[in-house]
Amino acid sequence: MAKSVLICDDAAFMRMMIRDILTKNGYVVAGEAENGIKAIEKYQETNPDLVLMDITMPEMDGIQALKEIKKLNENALVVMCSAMGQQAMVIESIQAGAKDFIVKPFQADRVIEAVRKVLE
Amino acid sequence: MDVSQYLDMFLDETKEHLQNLSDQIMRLEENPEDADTINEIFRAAHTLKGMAGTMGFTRMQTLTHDMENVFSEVRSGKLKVQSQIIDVFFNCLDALDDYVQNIQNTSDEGTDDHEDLIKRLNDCLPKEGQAVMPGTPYKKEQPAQPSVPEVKQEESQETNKWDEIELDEAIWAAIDEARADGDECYGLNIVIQEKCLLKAARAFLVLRTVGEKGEIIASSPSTQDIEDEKFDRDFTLIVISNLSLEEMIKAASNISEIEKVTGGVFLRPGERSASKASKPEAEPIKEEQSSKEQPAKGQEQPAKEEALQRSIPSAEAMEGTATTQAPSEADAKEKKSVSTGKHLGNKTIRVDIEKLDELMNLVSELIIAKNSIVAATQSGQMAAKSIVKDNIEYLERVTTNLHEAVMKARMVPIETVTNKFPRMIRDIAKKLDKKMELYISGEDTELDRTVVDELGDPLMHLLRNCADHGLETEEVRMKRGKNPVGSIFLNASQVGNSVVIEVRDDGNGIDVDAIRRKAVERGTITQEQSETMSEKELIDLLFLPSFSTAKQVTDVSGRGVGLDVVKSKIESLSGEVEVKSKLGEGSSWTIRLPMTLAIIQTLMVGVGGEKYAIPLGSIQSIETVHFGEIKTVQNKQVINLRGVVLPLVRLYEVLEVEGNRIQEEEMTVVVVKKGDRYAGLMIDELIGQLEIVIKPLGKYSKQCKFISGATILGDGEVALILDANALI
Repeated sequence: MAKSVLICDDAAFMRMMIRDILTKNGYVVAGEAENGIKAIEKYQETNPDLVLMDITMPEMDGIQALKEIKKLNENALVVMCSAMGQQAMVIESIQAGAKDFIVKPFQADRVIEAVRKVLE
Repeated sequence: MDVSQYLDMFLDETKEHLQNLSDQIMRLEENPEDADTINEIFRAAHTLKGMAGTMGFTRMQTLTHDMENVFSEVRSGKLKVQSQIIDVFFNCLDALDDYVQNIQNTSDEGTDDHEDLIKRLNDCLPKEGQAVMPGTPYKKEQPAQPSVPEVKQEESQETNKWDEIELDEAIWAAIDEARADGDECYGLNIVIQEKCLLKAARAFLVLRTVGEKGEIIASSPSTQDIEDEKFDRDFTLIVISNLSLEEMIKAASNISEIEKVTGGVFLRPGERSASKASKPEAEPIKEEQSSKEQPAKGQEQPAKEEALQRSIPSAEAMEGTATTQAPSEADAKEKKSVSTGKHLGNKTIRVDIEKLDELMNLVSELIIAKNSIVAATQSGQMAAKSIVKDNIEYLERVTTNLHEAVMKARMVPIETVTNKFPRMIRDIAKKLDKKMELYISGEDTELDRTVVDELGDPLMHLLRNCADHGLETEEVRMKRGKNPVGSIFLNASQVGNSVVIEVRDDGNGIDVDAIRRKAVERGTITQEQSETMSEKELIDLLFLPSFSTAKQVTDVSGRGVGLDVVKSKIESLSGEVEVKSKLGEGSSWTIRLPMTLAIIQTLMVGVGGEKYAIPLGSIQSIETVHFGEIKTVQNKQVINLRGVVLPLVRLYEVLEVEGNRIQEEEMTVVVVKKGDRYAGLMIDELIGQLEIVIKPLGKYSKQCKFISGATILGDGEVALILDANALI
């Protein structure tokens, strides 16, 4: 069965792009969330195989949301989306249990590589 | 990856973010310490950067990145918000606006780097910190680890890197102990892909993954240095684990963006000679290549350093993006050659999902009604007629609701245009050195998207007029006993089927005498005319193109910049503008717009055998007037209706049709209004109320002043729509 992915990013434009990349490569999008709080809600609701989590989001940032999701399910697979210059935050999220990270600007093959490797 | 398909969405969202930034910066100017606002600005700049980068707009990305840097400093408290920062930021927003405009028109961001802005942004940064993000080791210490060159040298000599690591005897003892327990000790060398952007984070992920499989007892460089990105592309680990070497290498090489992992059993220096490094990795880099690469990279280092510091992704880092950009650029060129219009992308509108659900629901009801009618035609004769009749009523209800729902979907709040005004007023206030405050209310009033889009310019004109010419200087206001801070009001509200937008100031008002003098001087009107003209008529002169372009008038009356443009724009939207003014107290400009342009309720009337539609919105009442009530004043026929004298318009004369010219005892008059003016339209017969779809007449019929469009009636006949505003 196709693996499902929850996309969390505050920019609808980014979500749409990631959604296209994932669906073209045979993944199912479990849902989309535009902030950390929604991400946690959607995670509980859809129970996805993997979460793509932007770091900078309003209401609750991605690191906080990652920690909350890890509390719900310590085996949760979370891949962080970051931008250049967020190294410290990426390291913090890896410490908190993120499995991988991708750096904006995204390239489709990098997104797929990360998703595939983490889901293996 | 072809990104052109995302262009519309990118533009829409970017504009939203820019607006948000503008609002937040305004707020910050009022309240420079507000942490929420600072966070919001940082976040918006950050999101913009990510979006621009993804679309391959590198100039925009660079600028937003530097903006983000400045706010990162502000956020961490290292930098205080000063007016200088606010000014730079507003200029940056203008520059970003330009990029967006360029992208919208040509799908390319243009070639302006805005180096001056970037320099000014960097000047804002605290000197010692440079452009370093808090906790982000962009700036690597130079010279790098003394051990690094050594290691490189070792590489070319084809020995194992991990053998370079020297360990204390205590650690050796621990290794021996582990071996006695059945574990093994390995050396692992991990090379990270060149295009990897966050090497420290990547390395950290490796450390963590390897750390889960075994115990890392040593590394080169130290784990702290790895975290701080004090390494080039590779690092070496000594690990004790109960897993096989292959399993360890697989675990490490399974991580993304890892180019190569080599490993071997880690032995004491004395035992090494015999053991050759086992390199299970399939593609070892050729030595010549890597040794050539190293010195070249060394030279590049300072340049790259600088690039990283300013955080423009260096050429090599952007390699991947560059290739993806190519198709989209080609695409853009192709589009450019095809499109002649101004906008490349389609006009999109974002619709609340609830509104769409409602539409869907109505469409399904339509289908039910259709099916019932189909069923009725197949059933018995008697029942059919009543079923069809019932369903036609049902259909009518559904189509009315459907119309409303579609209308709602097309509606956007005028906020989308008004929200850029506070910033504009701020800039004008600064430029003119006047104190003023803009109060906006009713910005949630909704109008058709096409109308809202066109409304920006006229409103801006009026606001500028108020700020520039309406409001007095601070001293004058003080002298007159007014609040030294001038007020400008922008109110929007829905009145019946139209939307009324009022722009008002508490400034000097319009000097009617000055207009009178100037108009006579310029020969627009004669001296005699000027004496008989009412104040209102004189003010209306301001809307004449010949009048408003004259600069002197602006100086004398304080009015008249492009008001003809305002008027023609509003009229093209089937709206109207009105001015009220009181000398010394201020003036008020009222714009009245129909809520929608597509479908309207009308009154169908017959004039000389032809059918005409009068928009219900402009009808005040329908009267039966006795012939004897018609009076003649100044050669014009008027009637006195409950104390109001209104001019009578004989429609058949105006429309030049064969009318019922025989004077009857009684006739039907439709009273129409425009603002606070009324007129009575004499018609032959009343047909009834009808909802019609407006069809434009096309450009050949632009000359017909009294006709605003046409519609097709149920029986296929065409009826013209009367423009009541033009008739008054």
